[in-house]
Amino acid sequence: MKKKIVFGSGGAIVALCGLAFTLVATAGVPEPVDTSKRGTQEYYTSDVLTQDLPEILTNLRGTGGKYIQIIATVEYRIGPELEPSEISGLFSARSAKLKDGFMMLLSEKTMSDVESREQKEILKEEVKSLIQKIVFPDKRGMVEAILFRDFKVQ
Amino acid sequence: MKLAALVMGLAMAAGSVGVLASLPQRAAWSTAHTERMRGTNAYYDARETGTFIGPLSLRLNGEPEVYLVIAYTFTWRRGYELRDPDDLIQANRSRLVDALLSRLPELSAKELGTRQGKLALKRFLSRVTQEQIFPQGEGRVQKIWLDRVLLQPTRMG
Repeated sequence: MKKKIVFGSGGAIVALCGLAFTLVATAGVPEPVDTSKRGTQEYYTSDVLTQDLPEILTNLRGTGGKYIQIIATVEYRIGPELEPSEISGLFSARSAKLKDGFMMLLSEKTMSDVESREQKEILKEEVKSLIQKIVFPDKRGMVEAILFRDFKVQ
Repeated sequence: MKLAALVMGLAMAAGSVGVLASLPQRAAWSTAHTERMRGTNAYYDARETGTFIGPLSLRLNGEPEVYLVIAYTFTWRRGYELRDPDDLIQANRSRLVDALLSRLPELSAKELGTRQGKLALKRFLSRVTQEQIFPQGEGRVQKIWLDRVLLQPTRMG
């Protein structure tokens, strides 16, 4: 009789512990994210975020002392896997790499490559791809557009 | 009584797992092992740190009227025996600047204006930075990120 009570109460305690562990372990766990949807429009939030890019200042190819100065903003959207605390550091942590990338990209451009409206649109697309590759290589965010705020060749 | 002992045993086991998990990933190396590992990839920490250099302004030798403004970030990995990397970098920074001011004027403005020239410049900066900042291989320079490479007809600031 005594043994039955001991085993019975032991089983009840183990069952309660199991239940408590399950409740604690699953509390606050977000719904699993379907990572296969990364890169598709529906994966990203509808809110468009903006970030000022580091100033781009470098020589164009074959222009001697002339240089190009671009100040731009990037518009982007993020996916559900990015924590709000990660967002602020997304660009600042990659600032050196971004500047380097812009410089290498513009080193191949001549004056005629950046003069016309069409050429500027092409340049925007190239900058967009570059940022996507550097900041969101895993497609956890998506670059939407590049907006020039200043564009000078001097 | 048995139940209490069981619960206590489980708690101690869980505590031990926690303690083991929090121990450093790499145990201390013996002198012989350190000697063997020196210079190998595993000798250097996996984490990369960035250090900014510049901007430096100088005149190129070949083109009397062309000035170069240059700034860059180098990323580096700490060697196993390097205890205070910030002190070492600070101590050797002036040697690096001196070497750059002596050797950069030999570069050609025409080459620096192209992508290929900039890639060559990165290799050059990587080599000189490694030689001057970590002369004994105390750390390893990994990458060079160009911040500014600007050729202009007159000196800036």
